[in-house]
Amino acid sequence: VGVPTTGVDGFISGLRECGIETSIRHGVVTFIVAAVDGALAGQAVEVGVSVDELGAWPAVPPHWVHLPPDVRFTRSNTQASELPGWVKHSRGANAWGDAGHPPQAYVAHLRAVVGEAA
Amino acid sequence: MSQDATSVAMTEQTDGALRAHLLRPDGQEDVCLATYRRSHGSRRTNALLRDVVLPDTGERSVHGNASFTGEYVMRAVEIARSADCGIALLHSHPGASGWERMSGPDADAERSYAYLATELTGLPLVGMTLAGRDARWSARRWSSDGVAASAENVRVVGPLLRTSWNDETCPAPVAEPSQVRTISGWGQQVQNDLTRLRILIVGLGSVGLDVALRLAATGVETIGLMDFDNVETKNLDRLIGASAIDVWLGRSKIDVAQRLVSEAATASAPRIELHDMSICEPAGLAAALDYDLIFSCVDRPWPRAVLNTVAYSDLVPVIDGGIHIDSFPEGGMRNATWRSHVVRPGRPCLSCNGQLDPSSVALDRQGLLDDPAYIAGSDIVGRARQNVAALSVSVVASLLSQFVSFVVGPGGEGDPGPLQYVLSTHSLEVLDRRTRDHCAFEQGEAAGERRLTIVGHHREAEDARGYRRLRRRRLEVRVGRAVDRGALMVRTALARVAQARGMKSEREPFAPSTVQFERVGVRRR
Repeated sequence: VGVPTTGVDGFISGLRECGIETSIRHGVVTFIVAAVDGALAGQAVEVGVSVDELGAWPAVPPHWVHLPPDVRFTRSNTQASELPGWVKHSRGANAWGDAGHPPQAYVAHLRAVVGEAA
Repeated sequence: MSQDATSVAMTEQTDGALRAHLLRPDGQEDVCLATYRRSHGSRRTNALLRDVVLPDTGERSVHGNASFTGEYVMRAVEIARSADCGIALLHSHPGASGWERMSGPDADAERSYAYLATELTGLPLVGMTLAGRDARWSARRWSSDGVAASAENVRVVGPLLRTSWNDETCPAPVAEPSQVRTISGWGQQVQNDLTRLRILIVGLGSVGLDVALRLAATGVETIGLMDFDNVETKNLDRLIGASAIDVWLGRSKIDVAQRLVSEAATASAPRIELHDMSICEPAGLAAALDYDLIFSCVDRPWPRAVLNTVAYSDLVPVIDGGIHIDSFPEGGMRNATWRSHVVRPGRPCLSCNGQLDPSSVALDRQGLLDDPAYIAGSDIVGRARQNVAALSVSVVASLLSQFVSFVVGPGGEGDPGPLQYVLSTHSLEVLDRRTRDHCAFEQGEAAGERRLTIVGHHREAEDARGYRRLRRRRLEVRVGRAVDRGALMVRTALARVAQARGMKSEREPFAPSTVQFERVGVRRR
């Protein structure tokens, strides 16, 4: 059937194509993205996405971005993350569906999110 | 209808490729193989044709009829296995028309590969015959021990929904005198094809209820009604036929719809199937896969995402639409627009058509689009709630026009593509919406069981069912429901008497060249 492109397996294999390794902890896929802007520019930031939100990947992108507690925003709609101590932030990937390589587009979205950190 | 029915579906492109090979210019029979993916409903299994595997040189010979080699079958099996598919064996009968019965040699040929196909692919062999004179298909599913179960229909999804019917398992409905005007509009054959379609309406609000009523009046035999919601006072300005009694007695929308649709039905034996659930629940999805066509009358992102998936992954076309009313904040109306479109392979999906925001699906799934605390802390605006009964009927008309174009094909034209009506200028626009290059919904065409996983636990549906259970325990509600049920029984009995009297005294004359009830048999009571 080949390399998976949909669901959580598709998300993970897509990130691997981008050179990003992942792990799954407490039902959250975690990986590192490089912040290119804002207060964290130049730093590697660990981020997470819930496995539960990846069933319809890449048609439907995950909404919540899980981040360690030291990544803060001036304004954010938050909930407790499944990862102990982490916080998940409400960050929709708007205008979704145009990208030729959805994992790359989602990583760009995540970089924009961490770029907003205070 | 059997409990373990089979239906076969394919896109117009697949049908075209098969016809190009199987219907030869020299009029001889031919044969080929294809792969299929399985899609399970709650009462039927669908075989969704995917790749046509044409024979290479030397893999089949044509000599009036056609024969093929074991190597050809094994090549197709390997292709099927690598794609998690089963195989279908297809052949043509150039001089035939309609649903074909199997000849002895044809049955023997298919039976001889039934065990092999099941053992090697894990899925049963599907046999199919194409009748050359009218391009109608017939199909059957073979068990590994060589027993064939005839399919109930074969659906070809393109600008038109072309359905070949097995008259033995799904006989054409008896034409009723109350359908004379309808049948004279498009003829008996169209009526026979259209009224056998299993049609599901998802969402029984103002639009869905009206759609259901008109399908029932048209004579559609099997109508599925899916909604988990209860009738509330705020619905009564749009749910025509629902009353304060229904609110008081804790009725669901499908309960009310069943009552009204049953009264409107003109079929001799209408089947109203109730689904007290959301399409977003696993049981709701399974139920939906039992239907040939779905009307989407829901406005939430999550159910629309599920329907958008099914239209491609399971080849069940979805007729969708909705209304947007643009009000001035201080009161008054700036404009209203309503849209309609058939969602199917070959047409843009709801996301490409701008009718579904994928990024809002996760929020809807968590119930956050109705959570004032969440909305207050976000940039999103609450759901638009405006609706007007006087205009929702226009959405109904638009959806049903799409339906007639898609199923009947007036003038040979199929569905027109996405349409938008603008109220302020009273103009109808054909919207130039195209599939995006990388649409993940549409890339899942005929994926069947490997479709996107988008269903799950639906708290709102559970809450609604729980509310009804509690309400029905109250003594006054129990008594009220018993009295109301008695009144309904009296009304049903009166309707039967009226129907019998009406048939005796009021036979309407009609042109026998157009509609011949005597030939197809009028039900006498």
